[in-house]
Amino acid sequence: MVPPREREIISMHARWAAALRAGSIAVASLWLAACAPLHYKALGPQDRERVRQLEVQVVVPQETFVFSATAPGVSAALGGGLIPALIDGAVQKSRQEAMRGDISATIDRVIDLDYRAEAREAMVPALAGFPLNVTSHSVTPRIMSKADLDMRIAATKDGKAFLRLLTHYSLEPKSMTLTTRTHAMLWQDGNPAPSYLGSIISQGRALSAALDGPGALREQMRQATTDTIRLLALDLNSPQHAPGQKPKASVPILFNGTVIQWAAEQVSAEDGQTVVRDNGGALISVRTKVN
Amino acid sequence: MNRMRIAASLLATLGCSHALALSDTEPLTMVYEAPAPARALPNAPEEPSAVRTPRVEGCNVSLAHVADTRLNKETLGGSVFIMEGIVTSVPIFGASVLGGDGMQWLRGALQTLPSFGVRIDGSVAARALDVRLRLAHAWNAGMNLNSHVVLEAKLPQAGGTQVKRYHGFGIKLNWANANSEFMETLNLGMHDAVKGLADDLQHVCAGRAVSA
Repeated sequence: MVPPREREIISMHARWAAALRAGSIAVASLWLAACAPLHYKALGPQDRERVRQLEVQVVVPQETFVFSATAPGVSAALGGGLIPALIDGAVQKSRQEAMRGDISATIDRVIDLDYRAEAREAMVPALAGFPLNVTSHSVTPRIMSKADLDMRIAATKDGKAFLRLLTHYSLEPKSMTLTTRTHAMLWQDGNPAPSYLGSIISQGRALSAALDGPGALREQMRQATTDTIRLLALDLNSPQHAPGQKPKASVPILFNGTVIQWAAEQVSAEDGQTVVRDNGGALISVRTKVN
Repeated sequence: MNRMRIAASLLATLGCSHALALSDTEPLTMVYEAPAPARALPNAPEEPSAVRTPRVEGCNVSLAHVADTRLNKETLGGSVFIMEGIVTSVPIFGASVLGGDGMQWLRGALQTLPSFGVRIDGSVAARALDVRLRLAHAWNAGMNLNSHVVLEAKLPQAGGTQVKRYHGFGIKLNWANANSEFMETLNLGMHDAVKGLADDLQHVCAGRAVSA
């Protein structure tokens, strides 16, 4: 039995906590709304012409696959608000804790996987036929600080350009499908506004039966890097694309083991992999059929 | 509405490249602090004691070999904003959590073994323990911060040693995306992993088999 005074203190703390959470959520919502940047901006012919030396930096900030349980979507269903957001957060936490056994077992099998080494291994041959003159390349875990990035951008003078690829890997827990998502940004002429922005999503075949060690996953990660560089080259060669000008028809694509309809146009289909470009300009590379 | 827009613009200016309060230039303190025991709510049920591993008297270990063998010691994950469920979502921006002294953190965590009933003893009679820090990663997801910490231990057994990995998970509400909160979340994960190790050490001390 909790003494009345203690119960009162707990209750008061709970009210303060609720108020603080409300403030945090409001700030986060405003922040996210304001931060919605462009996902796509084609590299114009004149900008492309001026790129004489390109430095490519691939940033892989992950140490492990991030298995994030999905929130139930109460907030979205009810049109936002504090209480639904807190419900989402609490349920997501509970679901995350329930996944720990599966996560442990999966990560244990691929604990020796070096994400950056895999990206590095595949990047060198993939860049061989790149449409711009790559003079240096690197793979790093650290996302540059704002100050360092500003300095790096300021140094893009006299035909030098800097291309950063921020990459995120995820494994879909049910189908064990590897998805590689990359945001590409190219700066030149010391201009803080990028000349090019690209979104590239590459998804491989489901691994559920094959994940008995890092071998199959390692192969897919290398393939994903190759695929990403290929699509990046394709994007840099497509200055005519203007997103959002005409709505595209829906095409069926296989994503996380499920066929979904997506407003996009097919770019290519070869070797069991389909590439589509969606209305927003993102290039999506997915398997043509389930394994 | 205009006020909202002004506030949003201001926040964008302040926050877009800085990922809120996370400092991408200051490393984490890497000071291990065991999480405070959760305070029971007035009507919370009693924690079942039957699931706890019974403590063995005289369970002494020596920390013969402690190492930080992570593949990357520069960072510990970070804030990468991505919406997993959306097909075209990409990591638009983010900030790294910079790592500090992993050995100090690991040693600090192992010093809490006595709180789980395992004494640390430097004598030759104690069971020699080999512990490595294999993984430490923190990230944000929705309203929460998460961490995953993996320790690998060579457990001294009668017939030799058994290598086993302990996965620890931490999760907490993300208030301000601050460095201290990432450290706290990593500490939760480390605590969870050390607890798993301590439970198995109790089995070792009792002469019982440890699950694979």
